[in-house]
Amino acid sequence: MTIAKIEKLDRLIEATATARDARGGSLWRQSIRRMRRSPMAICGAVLVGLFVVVAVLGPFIAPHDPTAQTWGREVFLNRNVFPGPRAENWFGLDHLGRDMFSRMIVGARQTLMVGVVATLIGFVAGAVVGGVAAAAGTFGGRWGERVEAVIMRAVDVALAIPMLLLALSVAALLGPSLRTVMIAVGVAQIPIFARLLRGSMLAQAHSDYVLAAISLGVPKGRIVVSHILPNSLGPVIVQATLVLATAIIEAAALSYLGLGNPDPGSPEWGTMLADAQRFLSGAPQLAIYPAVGIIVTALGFTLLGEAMRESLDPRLRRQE
Amino acid sequence: MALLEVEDLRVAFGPATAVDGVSFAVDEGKVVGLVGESGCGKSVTSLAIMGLLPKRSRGNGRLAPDTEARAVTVEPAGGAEAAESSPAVPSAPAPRTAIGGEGRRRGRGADVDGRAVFDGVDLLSLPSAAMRRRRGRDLAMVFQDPLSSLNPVVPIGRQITEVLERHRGLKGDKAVKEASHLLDRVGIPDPARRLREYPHQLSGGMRQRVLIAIAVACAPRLLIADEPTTALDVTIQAQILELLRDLVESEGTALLMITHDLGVVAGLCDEVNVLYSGRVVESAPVRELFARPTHPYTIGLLGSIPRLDLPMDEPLRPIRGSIQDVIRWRDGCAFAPRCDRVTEKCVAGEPALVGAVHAHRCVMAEEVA
Amino acid sequence: MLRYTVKRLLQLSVALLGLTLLLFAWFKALPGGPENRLLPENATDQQREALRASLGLDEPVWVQYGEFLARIARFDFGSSLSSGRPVATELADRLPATIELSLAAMIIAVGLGIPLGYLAAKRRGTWLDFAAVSGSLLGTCIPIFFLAAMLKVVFAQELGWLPTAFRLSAGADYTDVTGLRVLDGVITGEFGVAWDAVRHLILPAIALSSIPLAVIVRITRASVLDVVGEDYVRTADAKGLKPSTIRGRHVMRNAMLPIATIIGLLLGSLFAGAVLTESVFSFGGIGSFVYQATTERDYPALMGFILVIAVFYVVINLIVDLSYGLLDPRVRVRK
Repeated sequence: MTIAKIEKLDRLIEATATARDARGGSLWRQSIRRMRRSPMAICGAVLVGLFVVVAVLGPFIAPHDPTAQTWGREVFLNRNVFPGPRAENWFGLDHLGRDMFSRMIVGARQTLMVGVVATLIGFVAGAVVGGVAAAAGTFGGRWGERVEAVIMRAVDVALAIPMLLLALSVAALLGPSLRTVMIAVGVAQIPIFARLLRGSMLAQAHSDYVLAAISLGVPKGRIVVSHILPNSLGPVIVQATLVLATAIIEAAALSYLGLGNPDPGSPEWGTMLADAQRFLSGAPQLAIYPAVGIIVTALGFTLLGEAMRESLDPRLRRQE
Repeated sequence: MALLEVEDLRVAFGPATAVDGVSFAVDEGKVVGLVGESGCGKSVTSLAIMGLLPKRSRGNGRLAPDTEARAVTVEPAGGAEAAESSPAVPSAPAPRTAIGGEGRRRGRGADVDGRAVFDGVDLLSLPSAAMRRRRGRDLAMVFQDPLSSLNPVVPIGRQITEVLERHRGLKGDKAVKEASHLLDRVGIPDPARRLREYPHQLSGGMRQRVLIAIAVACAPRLLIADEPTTALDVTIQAQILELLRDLVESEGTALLMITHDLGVVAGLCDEVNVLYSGRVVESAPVRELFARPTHPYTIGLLGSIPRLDLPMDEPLRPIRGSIQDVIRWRDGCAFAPRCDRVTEKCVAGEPALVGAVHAHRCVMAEEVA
Repeated sequence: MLRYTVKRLLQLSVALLGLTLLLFAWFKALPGGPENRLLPENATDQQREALRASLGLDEPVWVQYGEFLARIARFDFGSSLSSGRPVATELADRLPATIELSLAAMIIAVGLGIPLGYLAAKRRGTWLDFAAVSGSLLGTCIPIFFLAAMLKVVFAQELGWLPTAFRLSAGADYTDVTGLRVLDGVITGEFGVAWDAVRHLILPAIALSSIPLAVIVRITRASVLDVVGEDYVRTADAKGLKPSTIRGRHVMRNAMLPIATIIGLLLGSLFAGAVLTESVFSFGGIGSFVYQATTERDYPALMGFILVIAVFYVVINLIVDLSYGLLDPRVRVRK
């Protein structure tokens, strides 16, 4: 029913399959070589790299304790007094008198965590659903085909639900916490990954080398696990990169809706951005720092993902 | 004075030269063939005459308005065509620009040079608006792939009447009536019904007839057919060629036939120009060419066709190598690397086109003959 | 075409049914069954059983599902836990605001996105193309509630050009006809009201349009680039047609196929995005209602919302699919 979304996924699969057929050799090596020349990929990689470095080193390079309300007495909420950038506090203070710069740096890790965990949940669960469907459909005989049909119908239905809505329903079940946000955003990605992996696996299942393996009498389970699956991951990994960007943004949205981390102690950009909305007119900088962080990070992952997709899709390539 | 006189036509896509000084003429009411392998520049030549090549961006970075942002895919079928190795595909498996190609094409458009004098006017220097008024009226074109050359979401009828509207001022019922008459003339039964149908509802041969109907709608003086039968079944091919011959004979239209098929040439053309690597290498009346081919390339082409009048065990003699094995014309004969009769003279500078009625571009021609 | 329509309708009703099943499961899985909220903490097991029976919770699951479906069919989504009013009434009151906002956002996105995407394709490789592509990439990366809040701070609070919240100025004399304030103002001839409504719409609509705009620009650009390289556009050129004819009849009519699909999809997700935008501008649509429902765990309200959005989504998908059939004869007319 969601033609465009589905078509886009199918095209990605097809492109990967044909790219492999036409060139032979390692698809990934080819794609990386191609991407080294793309400014889009380079920008994306630099942004993502920077973000990851900060996320990893964050707690070690932060000049202050991100949770200590060291300068609490200098902040006056009702008079909109938030001491701005100064030598001590590069990004100024937040509403509780904590060092914004340290909070941003330390918060990068949590933000990355949210994105990665959410994506992993979607990726793993989606891969299981899609993988089971594809394996059942290909090797499960008549019953397998029915199982596949039922699974894929359900996936299509889920694909039709706007992502934020799906996340919202999950969040309503679990109560507010950062864990909720990760699960909610991750669950919303399951149908996308499921469809992608299934399509990709089916494309592989009909390829010559799988037919050869079958005719040689390799056990079906082994064909799926050691041949089809590894070769089907290309489009899924591209999608995962793009989903990382969405996950970070959606997580911020859920935080804004009050479903995020109720504990203001450990900093996370989405929560910080949501919290800062209250002081927006008096101290917009409190929102702008985390917002820019989120935007730049999401942009990095988007650029990287789009560049990867382009390097895989001959039709898109022609256009650039 | 010939109807169309192409003089020293050159087309380059960035550093890759696709057409390298082609000259030929088409007389009123004559059928002239342009023959060669894919990649020799024959399609580019026809597109250049029609003004359909994307112009090179000038200054402001915009493409010429009439071609808009058209991606350059000059000959969809020919992978070896110079234009195909676009910079947009930095990953294409080591793209070798076919002709004089040391670098990748940078600009998106084509550099067109030379003259194409049609009825006393140089088409290449016409402003694009003036050229657009002539296209479809004075000179028209039939393309290779009839399915992709028709708009899939517009009824056949509309695709015909829009030309009539534009160039003959026919509107409404008059245009529809004329369109139905045109379909009838190109041999499509039940034209009134067909007018309301869409391209996907027609067969391949039928679609090509529609394209021909569109091309002849305004009784052009010159019709360019770019491999009009390549995408069709053999039996349909013959019908389409027959139709083209009929139209040309009854209307006195000149036809420039672009093909790689010497059979088509023998059956249809009055004169033939053999193209190799962007240049005419031999040009002669059709009988003369088949009777006394002079250039080794032409001889090679004729030698690679299976013939019924030779013994069965006589092997075909294909030309070795491919059109990518070339040297630049200014250094010598571009065909030299593939030629059986190559000598040192062949690579000692540019060979000239010699002869009047039967011209050839081969320094060894005297010895060959 | 009829066959196609029927087939689509069937597929969509199956999808909807599947959705109600998901919703039912979701509702059953919510923490703390409904009886816990209705009973005092020291209730006896007997009281509990009696209540369960009266609520039908002791019936087999499929009977409960049947009743669930029957209630949905009667638009009975229960009462909102926070306001006590029936959820259906709450939603019906607020739906026009959300529709108005979504339509306004879509008009901006389509009206700006298609020409911009076309220009980017036409002037590929120029600064305009670069700006359009990078702008649209950026557009999908800005959290929508942040954009809405910044627009509000800058253009409403600091510069004072536009109102900060609500659908009309306080005390505006307004006649309700359709619930769409701009339309109502025009219908009743109260152009002052219509203008006032437009002013209130501008900022939230811009914020809400950011993602659809970005998506439409990119899809239009890609689609036009695809089409413009097609042989039939070359044929149109070879016919010597006017550039406007080529653009309208040959390029855009084909390029619109993927664009139409995307627009439909986006309309569905707009309702979800409205949750965030409306809460920033206190717009009083479904979005604000849901924001409240989420923060207060008002499950009946949430369920009603999800269902309404799902129905909208499905209906829009149907319309898109059908319009796709109208746009593309290859779908409509069989060989």
